Amino acid sequence: MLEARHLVKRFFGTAVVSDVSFDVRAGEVVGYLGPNGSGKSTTAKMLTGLLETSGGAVLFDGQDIARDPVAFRRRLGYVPEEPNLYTFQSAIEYLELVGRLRELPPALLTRKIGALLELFGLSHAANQDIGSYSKGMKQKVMIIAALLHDPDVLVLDEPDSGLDVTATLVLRQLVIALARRGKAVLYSSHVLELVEKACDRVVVIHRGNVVANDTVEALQRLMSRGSLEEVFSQLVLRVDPERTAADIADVVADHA
Amino acid sequence: MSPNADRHVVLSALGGALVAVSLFLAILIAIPYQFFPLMPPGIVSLRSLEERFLFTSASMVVMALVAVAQWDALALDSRDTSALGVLPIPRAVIVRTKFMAVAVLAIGVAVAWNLAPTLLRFVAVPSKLGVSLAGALRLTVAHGVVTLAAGAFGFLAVLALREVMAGIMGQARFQRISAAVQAALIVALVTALLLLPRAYTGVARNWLAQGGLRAKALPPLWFVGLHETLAGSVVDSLPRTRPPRFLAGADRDATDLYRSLWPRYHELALIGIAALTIVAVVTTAACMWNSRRLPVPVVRRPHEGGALRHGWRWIVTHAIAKTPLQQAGFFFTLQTLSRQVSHRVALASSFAVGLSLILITARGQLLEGANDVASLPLTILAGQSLLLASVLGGFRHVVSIPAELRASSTFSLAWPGDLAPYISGVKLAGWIALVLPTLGCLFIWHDTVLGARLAALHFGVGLVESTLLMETLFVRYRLVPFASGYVPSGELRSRGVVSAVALLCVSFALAWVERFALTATTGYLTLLVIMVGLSAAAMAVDRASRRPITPLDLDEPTTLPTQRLDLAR
Repeated sequence: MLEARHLVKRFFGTAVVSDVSFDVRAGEVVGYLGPNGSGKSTTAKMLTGLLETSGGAVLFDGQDIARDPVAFRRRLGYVPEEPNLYTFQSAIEYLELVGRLRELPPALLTRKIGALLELFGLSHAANQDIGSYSKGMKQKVMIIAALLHDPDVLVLDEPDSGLDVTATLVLRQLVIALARRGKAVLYSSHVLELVEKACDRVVVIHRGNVVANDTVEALQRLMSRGSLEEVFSQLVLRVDPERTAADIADVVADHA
Repeated sequence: MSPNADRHVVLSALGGALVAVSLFLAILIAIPYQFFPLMPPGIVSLRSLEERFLFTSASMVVMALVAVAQWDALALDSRDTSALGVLPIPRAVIVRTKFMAVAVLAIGVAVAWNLAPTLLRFVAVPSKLGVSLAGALRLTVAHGVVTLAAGAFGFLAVLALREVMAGIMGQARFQRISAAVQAALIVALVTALLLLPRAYTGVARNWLAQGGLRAKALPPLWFVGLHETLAGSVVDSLPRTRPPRFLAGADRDATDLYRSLWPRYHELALIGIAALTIVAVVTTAACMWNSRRLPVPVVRRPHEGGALRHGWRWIVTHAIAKTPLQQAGFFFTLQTLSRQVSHRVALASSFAVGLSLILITARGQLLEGANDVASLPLTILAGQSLLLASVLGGFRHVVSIPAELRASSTFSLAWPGDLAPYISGVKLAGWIALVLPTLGCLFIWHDTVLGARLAALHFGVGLVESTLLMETLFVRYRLVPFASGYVPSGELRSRGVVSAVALLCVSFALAWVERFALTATTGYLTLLVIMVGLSAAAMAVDRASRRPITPLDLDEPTTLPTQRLDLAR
């Protein structure tokens, strides 16, 4: 359904994403992992068409999304890394703006907003300024905005950032439920446990390149590791976490 | 407004503008003295009263405007608490640092604005008058002191107003009316500033000589009195040599008038010193009272409402903006205009410009009506066009300023491809939120001056004219209102003057045509039909050039030629 084909992104000559190829099929949740600065969010932005590619293409149902970006975004839901919302609006006002821009029928929009705010536990603050929201509350608003129009493909860039335990568990079940209903979901996260349990397949990116693309089980088998965390560590970690932590503690304790 | 905006650049531009304008003013004031070195002391003293009034008023209003522009940054807010409250710094240090920062801002602006006129003070004295070096120095110091004192009074008065209101009402209640108070102050101060060039002449005769409460109620005069108390004798005590014969009488009269006002100067100076002291004490007390605890985030009253709000929404969605995209434009415009400071300030300023134009062109004949249509004052009829054009010009400007640039990706993601319905909703919101209240206010004035019938007919012209203006201002507008990036136009200075002249010409031409049309029903209807036709033509031109916008590019427009250094590659 959604395919990244040899994606390249350079900023002022420096390649942030060198050559990334993978696909997300309908009914599938694909985890997208990588350390900080590996190019995950850049890839997500290119997949949504918000960022122009320096090379390669993004295909949706076999068509380059650049051909008809409006049609593509009608079927896309995107939760960006940063919840950039209009802080002077309330959650209801923001969601109404998004729904109206997506030309949803007013009655349906009102019903959906009310129901989703209730289900995400935001109904008590629905009329407050978003500026007064916590990060998790803002994240929930972004998730609702991405789901309002019942998209076929979801790109979730660290959607669990700032969410409490309950909301994280709900989100995990939600992506599984959406995939069962035929949605294609790309799930970028640092919570490996969540990715391990929710995703059918995992793409690992390191320094702008895909270093693994397979099911969790296949990766565990291939690398003879017991958990996704260990697989991830072997693929991308170049430092000994224990040693680094001890070094940091030494610096912190330095009073001389 | 721009992710690439540099605060230093903005501050430098602001500082440069303040210095340049005040320098221009100082030189303009000094020119007559340099071209007429034989001007006698009596006339110089009297003229000096007017010029001190101009400088103290300007300093006071400019400083008050700076305080109003920084309205929400004048006191500690919850961001300060979240950034500094966690650090091991005593509350008193945080409070003191904040108010020192505000003081540095005020002193910086006050110096930037008053430095050039102070240093050039000695140039505004005829060279043949024989003022000694000590006298020139005294004039310079006195000018510096009173203009800075006037500026301090203006700044502190705004700060005191804000802090006293916040102290009495509490932060939560104050937040509800803060925006309205700020907008009202901007309208009042910008109008005062624009009217100043016309109002500063005849200070001695019109204000000081009248005496009574009138002179005492005008704060700039307090500082004029202070100036004369400090340095008025420098020129007044100069020996009266033989002035040119044609000036002898005028000089004698001027000297008599000037000297007769000596008691008033002292009285006003005392009032000025007392007022400055009181406002400083009140400000300090209010600031200390409000800073007894570090502020916490104020959760504003939820934007929910009862039957009235639901009724309003029903009317909008069923009668005004029927499609979802129109509704998106309509409601987002209302929310942005009422809640975003930058948009509110720009709108209030444009309203003040329109108001000033009315006051300047009316020349004190605001309440003078006429017995018949043919002798209706053009200034009253033109006032409507002047105010409408200013307000709608301001509206056209604010729609190009992003509501919150980072959140503009909302539009990129949910963009439906067709801009027209969204812009239509924006225009409807502007028309209802700005045009109708403006016309309503004008109607009250016109009803008093012209009578109900003529006021209603004029109101009708205003409705059609505002539609024409709105359509014309948005012809070929292809950006996304409140979402596209914004770079200020470098042609503002040249276009601003041309636009103001064109506005005056067109407004008075239309007023003349309207006065002619009002004499007969057919004439009036013909005028309306022509204006409706022009509006339809503007809409047709816009429609003919309309194309779906894909992909939607919300990035900033290309930078100005002078900024295109191309250093990124």
